[in-house]
Amino acid sequence: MLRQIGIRLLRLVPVLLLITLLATAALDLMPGSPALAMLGDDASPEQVRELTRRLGLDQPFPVRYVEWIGAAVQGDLGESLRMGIPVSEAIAQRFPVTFQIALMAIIIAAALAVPTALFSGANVGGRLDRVATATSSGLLSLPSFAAAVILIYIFGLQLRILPVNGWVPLGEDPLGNLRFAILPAVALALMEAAVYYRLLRTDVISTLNETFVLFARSRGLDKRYILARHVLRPSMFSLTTVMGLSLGRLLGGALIVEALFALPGLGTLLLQSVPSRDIPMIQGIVVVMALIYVVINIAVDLGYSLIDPRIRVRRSA
Amino acid sequence: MSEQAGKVARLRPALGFTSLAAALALVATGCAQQPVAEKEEVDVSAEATAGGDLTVLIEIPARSFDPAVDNTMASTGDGARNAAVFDHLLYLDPATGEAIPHVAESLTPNDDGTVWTLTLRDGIEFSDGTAYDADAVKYTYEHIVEVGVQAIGRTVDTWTMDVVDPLTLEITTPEATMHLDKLIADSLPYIVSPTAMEEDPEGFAEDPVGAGPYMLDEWVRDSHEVYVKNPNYWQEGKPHLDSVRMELVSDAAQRVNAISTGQADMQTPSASSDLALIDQAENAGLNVASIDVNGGGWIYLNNQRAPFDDVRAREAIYRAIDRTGLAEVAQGSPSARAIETLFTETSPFYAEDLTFPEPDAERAQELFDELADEGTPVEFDYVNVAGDVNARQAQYIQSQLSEFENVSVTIDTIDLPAARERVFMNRDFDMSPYPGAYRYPDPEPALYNLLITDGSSNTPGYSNADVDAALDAARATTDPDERAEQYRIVQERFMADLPGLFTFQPRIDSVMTDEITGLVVNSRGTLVWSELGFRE
Repeated sequence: MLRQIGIRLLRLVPVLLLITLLATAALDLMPGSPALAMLGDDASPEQVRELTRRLGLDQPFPVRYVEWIGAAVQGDLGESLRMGIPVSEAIAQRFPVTFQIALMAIIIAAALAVPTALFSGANVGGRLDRVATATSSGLLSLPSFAAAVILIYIFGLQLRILPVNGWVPLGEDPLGNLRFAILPAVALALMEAAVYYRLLRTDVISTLNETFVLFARSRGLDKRYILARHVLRPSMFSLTTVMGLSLGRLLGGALIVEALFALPGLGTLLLQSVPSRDIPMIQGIVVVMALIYVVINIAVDLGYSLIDPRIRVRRSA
Repeated sequence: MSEQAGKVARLRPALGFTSLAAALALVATGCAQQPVAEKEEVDVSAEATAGGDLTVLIEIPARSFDPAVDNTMASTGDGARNAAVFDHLLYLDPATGEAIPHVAESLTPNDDGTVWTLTLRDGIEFSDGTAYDADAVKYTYEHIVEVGVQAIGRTVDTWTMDVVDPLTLEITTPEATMHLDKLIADSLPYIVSPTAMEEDPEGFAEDPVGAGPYMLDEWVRDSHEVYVKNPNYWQEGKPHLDSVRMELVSDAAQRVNAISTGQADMQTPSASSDLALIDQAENAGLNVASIDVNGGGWIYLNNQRAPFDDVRAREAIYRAIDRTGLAEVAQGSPSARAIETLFTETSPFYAEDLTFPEPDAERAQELFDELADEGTPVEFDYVNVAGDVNARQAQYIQSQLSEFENVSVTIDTIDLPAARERVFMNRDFDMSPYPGAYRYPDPEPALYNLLITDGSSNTPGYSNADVDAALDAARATTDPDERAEQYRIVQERFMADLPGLFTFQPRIDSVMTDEITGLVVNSRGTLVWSELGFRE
């Protein structure tokens, strides 16, 4: 197991290098001067040139990249051009918000999808199955920002039971935090729930035809017990992978929802950094996201072994 | 207490439908929303009662609390924050363009406008106990020059500043101007405590010390700030509020939603609101106070290269486009109006007879054909700046021009930083929108900078000797008749040359609940915080 982790972590290095190189190159090709963004519309060309020089942005691209990556491996992601504080500090402040929303979204999605998929898969063609499958089809075509708009309209504007935007830190007021977090988390969860449901339902149907399930049935065991005890775990492989990837995607992809709900998360930070051409911040966010994504992938792979001991056996063999 | 907002504020009872979905659909389709019925006015000029905690929504994240770093002074961004912490030395009235002394007692020129005397009120202190004196003003202006972010610093660098006594500062300018007070009111109103800045220049940006009505108490970056009442504020009995919480909500529709559900009391006044959402706010029963200001939505035409280096091409654009339709579609509201004259009717420089060319399809086609016959057809790139209003505007122009022959337009949409570089810096464009509306409550200094040859805002590259002479002559006098005469010349030449395309009539919109009163704003829409509060 440790060797597996070591090998995968080593593979992580070239992946991260490639991602940061591509991200930095893309930023370099993006039109718009960071110096001009900082100085404003009335800046003189001389002012822009001087600030560009002061920021080190007049250096050739390879020089800037090597300098940045050299500092980054030592944990120094540079200083935000817009905020004047270390990039790592800004990311550390925002990450908990994004992580909480993403995690809540996955938990909500799983809480909706897993029991529904289990019972749907066990009763194919039944009323619950037909309703759930049709609903999931609808939710699959509902992007999170559209879901957010609908949720805001219903729970914020009409029922007025939840705030339409804003944020309270978890440590400051846990209940208040939950009130602010629930709508964005549900907005993100709905499509994920549909994906989880369809995936798990298919796997449940497949598992129900396995001999060990037939054997359990022949012993007269309770149907619910069989589903929970014998069907769920072997049906979870695909779902585990997708949930892992979901977390990575939600961490990096909740930009619009974060902006809509005015959440002080990484997505909002990225959205505010692009117009101001805050290159160090964008680079920092990209590298952190990439790192998280790759680490999650490793964790998912290793998670298989925990779910199914047969994988451990095959690997060691 | 100013009555500026009280004249125009209106109360709109709820019509029962307000939602983000509707707003987004409206924005997406550019459809006109149902007009709101005329209703009872709410006076927002009434004196506020003491006490209360205000939650105000703000659009742009805080960058720094050092005024020298704020290059936009936006009423929806750091301008609003700095006004709360530092107060206005003077402020420009948006309706009249008059510079109104606030912390300053007066700012007056000598006979020829080369030496200005700033007189301060006695006994004012910053919240750290430092005297708000002539040294502090001089220190702040030198600090702005040193930081080198604000374009105004280049102008200040040409001044000679002499501290005559603690309450008197003399400013000598290299060129005569009778309107330096307007420049200072507009661009240099925020004065810092030299003591605090000297003690910790880095820390000042996060822990500012001013003499404004409120002091920064808490700042959670990209989330909110909390300001508490300054107990040593220089105006007796003010400010009215105990605290102000500014919450960052970038999404315009969500700001309206939050106010209509009672999560917030108001949003910072804005001179570039999406009118579709303003209509939505009125339909939600919120109070919207609006002030028309001189200026307009402004689309640059590059006077320095083909096709718009030829005045016939510029006139053809005016003749081809229904500017009223353009305003309504771009703003997404039937209440949007096209600007018809360079100055509003309330301006002393208003000239009813000097209007922009009326749409005339026949004349437009004649001009397009004429230019094509000469081998210079009107084919151009429209460098569009990303954004809903700009997108609708660009598409409307393209669709209107598609009705004509011998004219073609290609839209190239880029984001604002890219546009700044391409349009403002490199002047690599044929046609491109100014972000928001270009406003000049008084022609000084904004209209001057827009039209004078090589002016700091003269992106179209317009140059006309008569206009230059008239602008300079108007700058050198305070005589209203003389100024009106000179600005009439400017308007005549503008209507003949049409250096750019003016579109919609701009206004400063303040969206709030009925409970808010004491609304006074400067020409940028920035609040005069000492007056604001809740009504009894």
